[in-house]
Amino acid sequence: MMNSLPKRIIKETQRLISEPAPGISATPATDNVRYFNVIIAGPVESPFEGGIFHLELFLTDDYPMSAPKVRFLTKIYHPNIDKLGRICLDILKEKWSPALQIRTVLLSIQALLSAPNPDDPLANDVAEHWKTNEKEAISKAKEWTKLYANKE
Amino acid sequence: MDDTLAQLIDMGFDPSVSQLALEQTNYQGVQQAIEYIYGLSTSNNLSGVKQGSTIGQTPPSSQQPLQSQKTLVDLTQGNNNSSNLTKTHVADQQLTSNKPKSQKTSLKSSIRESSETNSDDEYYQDVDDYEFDVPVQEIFTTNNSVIQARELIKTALVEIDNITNITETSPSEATLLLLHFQWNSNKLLERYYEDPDRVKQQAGVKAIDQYKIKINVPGQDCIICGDSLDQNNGSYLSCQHYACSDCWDGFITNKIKDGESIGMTCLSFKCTNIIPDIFVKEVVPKQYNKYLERLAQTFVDKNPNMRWCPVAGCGNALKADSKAETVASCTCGFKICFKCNQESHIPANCDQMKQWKKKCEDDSETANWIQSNTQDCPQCHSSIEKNGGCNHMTCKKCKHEFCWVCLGNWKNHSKCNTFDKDKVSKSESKKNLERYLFYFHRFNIHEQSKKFETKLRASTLETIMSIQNKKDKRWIDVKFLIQSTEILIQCRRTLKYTYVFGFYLPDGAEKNLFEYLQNDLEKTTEHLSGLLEKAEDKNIFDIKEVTNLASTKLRHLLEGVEEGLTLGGTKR
Repeated sequence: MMNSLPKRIIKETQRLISEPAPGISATPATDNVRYFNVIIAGPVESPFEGGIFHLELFLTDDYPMSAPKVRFLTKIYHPNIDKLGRICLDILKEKWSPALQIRTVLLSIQALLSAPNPDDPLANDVAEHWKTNEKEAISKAKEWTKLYANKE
Repeated sequence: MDDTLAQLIDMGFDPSVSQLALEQTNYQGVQQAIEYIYGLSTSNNLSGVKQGSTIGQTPPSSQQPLQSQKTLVDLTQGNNNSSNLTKTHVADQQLTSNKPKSQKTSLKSSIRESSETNSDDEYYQDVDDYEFDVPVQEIFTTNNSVIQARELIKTALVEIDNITNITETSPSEATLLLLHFQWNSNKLLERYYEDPDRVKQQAGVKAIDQYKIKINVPGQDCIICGDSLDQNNGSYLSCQHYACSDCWDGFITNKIKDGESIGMTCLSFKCTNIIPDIFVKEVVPKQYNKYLERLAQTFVDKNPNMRWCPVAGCGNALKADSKAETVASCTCGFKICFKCNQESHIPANCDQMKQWKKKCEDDSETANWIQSNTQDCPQCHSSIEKNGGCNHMTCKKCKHEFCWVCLGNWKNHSKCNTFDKDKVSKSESKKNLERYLFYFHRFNIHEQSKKFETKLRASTLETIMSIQNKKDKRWIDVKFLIQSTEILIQCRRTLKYTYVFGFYLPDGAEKNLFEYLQNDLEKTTEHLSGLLEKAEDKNIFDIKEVTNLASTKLRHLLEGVEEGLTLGGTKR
């Protein structure tokens, strides 16, 4: 199985395991090496601090010519992430470049948690909340973090 | 030989044409040559000899017409044995009985003389009639050009080539410039000469044509797959983002699949270096054609003066002189409104069409109909449509007996003549609905007719051939049937949309006049439609007359609407 995998995916996987980025862990599933179980720790000084967020990441056959598919599995209150956990991030769409890697994608998602962008929303109601009453929205995000992103 | 040639030239034929005709007829004689010329000139106006001036047509079947003249005329006359026979017969007579005179007209009259003894005088009679006949005019022509689907890439490339030559840039740079100016070459050149550097900068043109392909890049790995680029495998643009040819291939193929063409940038993250077309051609030659197709697509999509023909499977592009153009027609016969990309909807305007469509799509009208034409059984609530005069109703379902007027129980029911406010509002909505249905019904009927009549396009050619076969008619005598069919379709389409226009036209003098014109056109159109459906040799002159009548009526209506039907009427 590993043999038919492009060299690049093997290299990336090895590096993700041997020198993981701080606050991020990504491990390939035992039955499918293109499927990764990802954990991102909520960045400090963000409403998601202290939370442990589970994501899934899948490398399509086209990878790296097309972007990996990434989705939050843990419920999160964030203007750029919808109910189903889908993420609105330019590099996962039109700004994707094959020069990007799994690591860079996950780092970008981590950065998105630190800096929500309500002007380019995916979850409209959350974005509206963020824009009209940021304080209240942040406290709701904190609440959700406690409620849903608690250890596990 | 020279004698016959001199004779032909003397008759007013072009020397080169005469020579050709003689060669093609194996120098059999003046008559054969003339027949050849006319056969030629009916199919292709090569010779400068006036079309339809007189006499016979194609050469006898033993002679081969020019390859390039394989048009319908040749095809139809291939089957036309009887007419060929009579013509050779006439020709023989001509040769023996008459010396050709120096005027074409006298030649014609001499032929007629000789043919008067012939049983075929009806044929020549018709030919004469033709001369006095008014030609059928195509009204309402559109002045757009049509670029055939298969010519699109070529047309786009010619445009690029043109700019490349004038601005002395590379094809990629020229394409970027053209894209920036929405493929408006004139505007591009105008601005370009004012300030080339600024225009280039605005269009995002950099020095983009520096690249290396499949070379050895010692010590470098492909930034995508990580392979070493030591084995003549590295390709890169001026930004020096090294990648192997396989990765470039995958990357570009993917981009093309996504619909990108000239604007695609280097594969490195956030690098804005544009990949020149020649790089694509050399790295992924297999995809290059697809790349050009995409480019041709932007040629239409980004050009405000161009539209795709909306007919499924057509693929042609329509080009108008400006985006102010309202109607454009495709060679497939479809006419579109250049503004809203729908079927041409003259005399109704785009806004009216929008409203009309919404109205038609709106289910509420149907619901309204049910509401105003049916009433619910007061007991079981099923909808009942009344189909008789008696107001004593018995529900078919539950057998409940009730009064249709007041919906009360029929038994013991005495007074239902009391005024009821609700009834009034219902009749108002009923009136509106009926009005809408009236217009919609007619809109629809004309649409249906148009569908059938569009099929006439194909059968018209058959009709023409059969008339030609049966009755020695020449192609030019009957080819107007094609135009008649087109005019019929045009009338039909216009009639269809007059009902949208009429629906939104307020009552008054203007509307009265409009309806008068509409009615007029409707009658003529039905007449023409009836004639064309059973077109045969006997009624072709009727058809011609009615065609011209219909085209006049159509013009009256359209001009009337355009200029405002009455003084102070809405000018459109």
